[in-house]
Amino acid sequence: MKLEALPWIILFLPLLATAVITLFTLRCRTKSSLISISAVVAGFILSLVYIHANGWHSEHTETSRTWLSIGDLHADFGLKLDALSLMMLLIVTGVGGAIHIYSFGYMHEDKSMARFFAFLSLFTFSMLGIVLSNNFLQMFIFWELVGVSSYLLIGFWFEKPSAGDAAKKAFITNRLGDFGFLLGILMVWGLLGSLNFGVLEAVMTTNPAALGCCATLAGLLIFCGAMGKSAQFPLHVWLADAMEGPTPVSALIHAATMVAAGVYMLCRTLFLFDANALHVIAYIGGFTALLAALIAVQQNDIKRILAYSTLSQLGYMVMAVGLAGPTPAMFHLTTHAFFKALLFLGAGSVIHGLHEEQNIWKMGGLKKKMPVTFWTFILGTLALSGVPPFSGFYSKDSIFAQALHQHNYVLFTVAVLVAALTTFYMFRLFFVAFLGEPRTEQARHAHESPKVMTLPLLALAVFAVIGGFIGIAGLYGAQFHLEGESLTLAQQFLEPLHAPFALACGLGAVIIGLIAAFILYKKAATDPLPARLGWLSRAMRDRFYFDEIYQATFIRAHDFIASVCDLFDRWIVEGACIGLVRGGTDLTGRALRLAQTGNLQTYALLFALGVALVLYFALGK
Amino acid sequence: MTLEVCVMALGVVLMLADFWLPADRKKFAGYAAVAALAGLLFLSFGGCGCCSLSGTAFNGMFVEDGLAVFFKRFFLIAAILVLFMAVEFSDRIAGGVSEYYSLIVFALSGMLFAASANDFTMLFVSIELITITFYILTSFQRGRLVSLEAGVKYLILGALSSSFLVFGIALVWGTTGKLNFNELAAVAAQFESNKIFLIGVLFILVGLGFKIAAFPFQIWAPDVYQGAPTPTTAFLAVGSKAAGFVLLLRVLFTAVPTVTAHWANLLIVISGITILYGNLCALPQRNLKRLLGYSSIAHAGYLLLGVAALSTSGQSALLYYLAGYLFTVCAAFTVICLVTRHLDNDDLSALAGLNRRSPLLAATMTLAMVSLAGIPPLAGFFGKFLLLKSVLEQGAANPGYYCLAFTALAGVVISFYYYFGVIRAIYWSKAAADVSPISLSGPIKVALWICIAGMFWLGLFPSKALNLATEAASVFAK
Amino acid sequence: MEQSQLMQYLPVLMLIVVAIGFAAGTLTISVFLGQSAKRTKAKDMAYECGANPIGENTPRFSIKFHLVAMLFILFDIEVVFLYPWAVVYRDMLADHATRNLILGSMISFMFILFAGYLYALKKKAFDWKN
Repeated sequence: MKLEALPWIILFLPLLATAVITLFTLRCRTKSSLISISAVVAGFILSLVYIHANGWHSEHTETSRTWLSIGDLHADFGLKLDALSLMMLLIVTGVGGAIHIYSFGYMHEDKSMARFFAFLSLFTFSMLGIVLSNNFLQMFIFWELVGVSSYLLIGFWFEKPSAGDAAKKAFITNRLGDFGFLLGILMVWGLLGSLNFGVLEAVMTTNPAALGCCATLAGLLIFCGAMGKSAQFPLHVWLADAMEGPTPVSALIHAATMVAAGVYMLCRTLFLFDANALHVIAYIGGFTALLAALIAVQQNDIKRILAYSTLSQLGYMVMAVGLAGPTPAMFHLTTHAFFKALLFLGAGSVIHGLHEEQNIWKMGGLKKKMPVTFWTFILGTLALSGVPPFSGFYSKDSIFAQALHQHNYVLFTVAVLVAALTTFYMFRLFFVAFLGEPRTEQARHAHESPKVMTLPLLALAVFAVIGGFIGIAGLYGAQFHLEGESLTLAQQFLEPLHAPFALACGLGAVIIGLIAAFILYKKAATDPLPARLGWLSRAMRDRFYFDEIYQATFIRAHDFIASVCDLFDRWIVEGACIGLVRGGTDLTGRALRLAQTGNLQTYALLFALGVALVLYFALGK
Repeated sequence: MTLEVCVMALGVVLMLADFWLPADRKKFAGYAAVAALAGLLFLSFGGCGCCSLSGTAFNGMFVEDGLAVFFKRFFLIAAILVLFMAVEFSDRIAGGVSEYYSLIVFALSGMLFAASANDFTMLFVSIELITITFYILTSFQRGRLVSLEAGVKYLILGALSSSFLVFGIALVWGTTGKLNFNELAAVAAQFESNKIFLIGVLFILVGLGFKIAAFPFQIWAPDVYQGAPTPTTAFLAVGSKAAGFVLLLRVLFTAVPTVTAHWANLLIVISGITILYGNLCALPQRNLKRLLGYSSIAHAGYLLLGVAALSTSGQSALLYYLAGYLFTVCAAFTVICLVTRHLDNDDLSALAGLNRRSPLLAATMTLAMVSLAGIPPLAGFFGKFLLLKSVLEQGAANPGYYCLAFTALAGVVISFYYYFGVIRAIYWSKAAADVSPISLSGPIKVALWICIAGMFWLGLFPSKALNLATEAASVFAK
Repeated sequence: MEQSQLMQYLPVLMLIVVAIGFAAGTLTISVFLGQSAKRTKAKDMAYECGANPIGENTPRFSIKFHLVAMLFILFDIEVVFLYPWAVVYRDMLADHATRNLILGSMISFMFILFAGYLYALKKKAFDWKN
């Protein structure tokens, strides 16, 4: 088999799995899940094979065929296979594969397990499509497919109204962003005449002013897409609600894939953004990071804490992109995929062990009951907090360094502050949920999860630990700068020493956060913060009232416009225009029918009149 | 000529066969007739002399040209499909079945003569042969009051129209002294301002307008279509209408082309009103056959688009549309004939649950309705497209053509409502009174498949049929 | 030309006027000249040999009358065609071009006539009792 066919196979295997499950094995749970798991694992192995054979930076990075051609629009269906997409390919299939395997254990009790795996495979297919697209149109199609399949997965337990609402919220919020994205794509096509990334990049390199005065606008419109998918302020509201889905879905969507799509897309099309657009992007990212970190401090639901933590980390990545640093952004994206998936799956394991309990104040003392979960969770926490030498430390440090490098001290301060907050809320979670004494009966009777769930935890834990110095950053660096020299393992290990100030600030933030969490929560039975912070704590807990503000302004305005449109449609369009025409036609029909009396004499008379009419018309003048 | 003689002989044989066939075999005489006609049709393609492309007979009263050949094949196919239907219908005919077949064949011979008519005498004789046969065919179900009523109405109004026709012929002959179309064409220009001559031509048009059910002579159509036995209705809608059209074409474009050129507005108005009248009246209809009666008026209007265009492309579009109309209407009436076998009425409700009773019938009816409505990829779409195109081509010269095209489009839109009402009745009726499966005999399945194939063939591969139509219409270009 | 053509119809028009005038005139004059008579029921009754009429005044005839009458007319009219044929028969037979036509057409015509006769016979159209 030719090597070029491999990526196609990798892309379409999950779709095939979806089709087979939906069409044939919907009744059989085990068979369905095995089909789905083997599709994604095979994808992972084939990706490794491909990379092994072709290397990361092969000469030939595109394979495409013409899909449709309308006028000036020539849309290809093609795959882009450079280091960026190959790395994402590994993340999606690798982390996704771990989550698939984990789901086999987690969803074992659910009666619609087959449907779950069908959706999961569809989601994987869509995500792979985004990653491998070589043009905007194709990417947009898969972009929407991700939206659809995330809708299906978040609303998987559709019998719960909250799940249905969350699914709708996620979908609609994403669509808002996608609207801007589509406008941006159209604008790019209109101005540059192509949708292919390679062609666009060539155009932008030879003539950086090709977009002219619309450059900022086009960049921001495209960023709208990322804003929706990567849940950046002000479209961040859907992500926490999306925790209504099953926990593996949260892990898949909110750690490794869907939210990463926005950042990935920004990195893929970075050449389109001018300085102004990047500035806006950076500040939105920084603001989101800070906002989400503050909210996370006062959440009590284990999954929600992780969700806001995801938001906050995404803010980091977007900020890094905005600071013209795709390498740190993608680096952080990769390490984040490892440890956030690990944390979500760990949380899932806890929830599973405690029979669907999600409130951290009802846990405690899980160290002995769930040793594997405990140890892997602490590794994830350390990685997320940025404790050296775990992976998060390296990626976060590269973002700090990038901020300093750009001399943007405001964002650097924000980033360091967020790092402190991150450590604080993660250790709050850790101290409350895992240490101390069990607070409830359920926590006392917790049990370790089965092997099929703990093994993926272990695998992810390994990467959460070592992800920082195994050459990932160098890989991205080579992609974006093309002259990056390869570093040895030891060099990578000591890489942060190149920016000692950033290193010091980062470590300082971690230590402050850790100490604060230790003092406040080591022995706490209830949360001490609300008493000390007062209204601020309430605002944090209530997510700074964004949902309420949206409800009062946008949704109400939207409802008003909708009802006006409805009235217009019902009375003016439907009633006056269509109704009159329809009624008029109908009446004419009925009236004309009266001529058909069935009486022969009348007919003969009408016939004669008709003759007279014709004679008059033809000869009368 | 050979073809007509053969068909005549076939009619006589069928009529007499009645006396020597055992009672239970009589209905199968129809299949023999089908076989004979199919043989003749085959020979007409083989070029064995019975359908030569040139020549005249009876001192020029009878011509063989492309147009005649086109229509003769058309009528043969129509008669074959109607005969298939008639065999299925035979158990509902109290009188002699063979007579019913033979009358269909006699009507066919009248149509064949009409296709070749090149003289007012021949025109009148062929029309009367068709019409008188149809009087009997219409009232053939002597036990049914509606059938008799339809027969009487058709007889009286038909006689009225024939009187106008023959009076018109007399006036034309009286003023010009010519009956032959070609001879008349040579002198017609001199009489363009002669009112008597023009009245004569108009009276002839009245008689032909009655045959094709064009406004304002459409009044008989719904009643007669509803009352007549279903195969008769089908033959009336296809054969009789087409005969009217071939004669109309000959009179307008061979006999008095110079006069016709002045009457563009008359034709436009007649065509437009016919379309609107047929479609509007069909809207509130619940009776299937009556609905198709109104629909047939509307289609006469569409066909008149091709006449009103006064161009060769219009005439060829008309011929093409007629071909599609043949298969579509035969399909619809065959389904009605089979569905209403055990019912007294032909209301839309009879179709309820048809998709479960017989998927083939349901599919055929749906396709027929879709084709009548003019939706691709079936025959009706391409035909309407050609007709509208031919009309729009003339728009530069006379803005009335744009109005006509718009009217036709409005008619098409209106027609969607009732055509899809039929489809809705098939698939989405609330309660089906009768859900017993309908068993289909082999031959009728063949007929249905011929209709379906015809609809698809004309819709998907129009070039062959369009070439034939253009060739036939080229008669008028000379 | 049109004018002269219409002029040819002048006598016809005059005839119509005279006919209508005569009928209307006589009727009008009789009103003035004649005595007005009294209308009684007996006077309005149809006269039927002095006896009072019984039943409908339009008695129904058997359909067979019509059938036979129609058949008679059909065959009678058809036989009329024989006369013109007979008139030109000798001349056309003499001409080589038309000698086959003249006989053949009449034979086929007679054949059709015969088929019709056979049909009527077999259908028992001539059988009065049935």
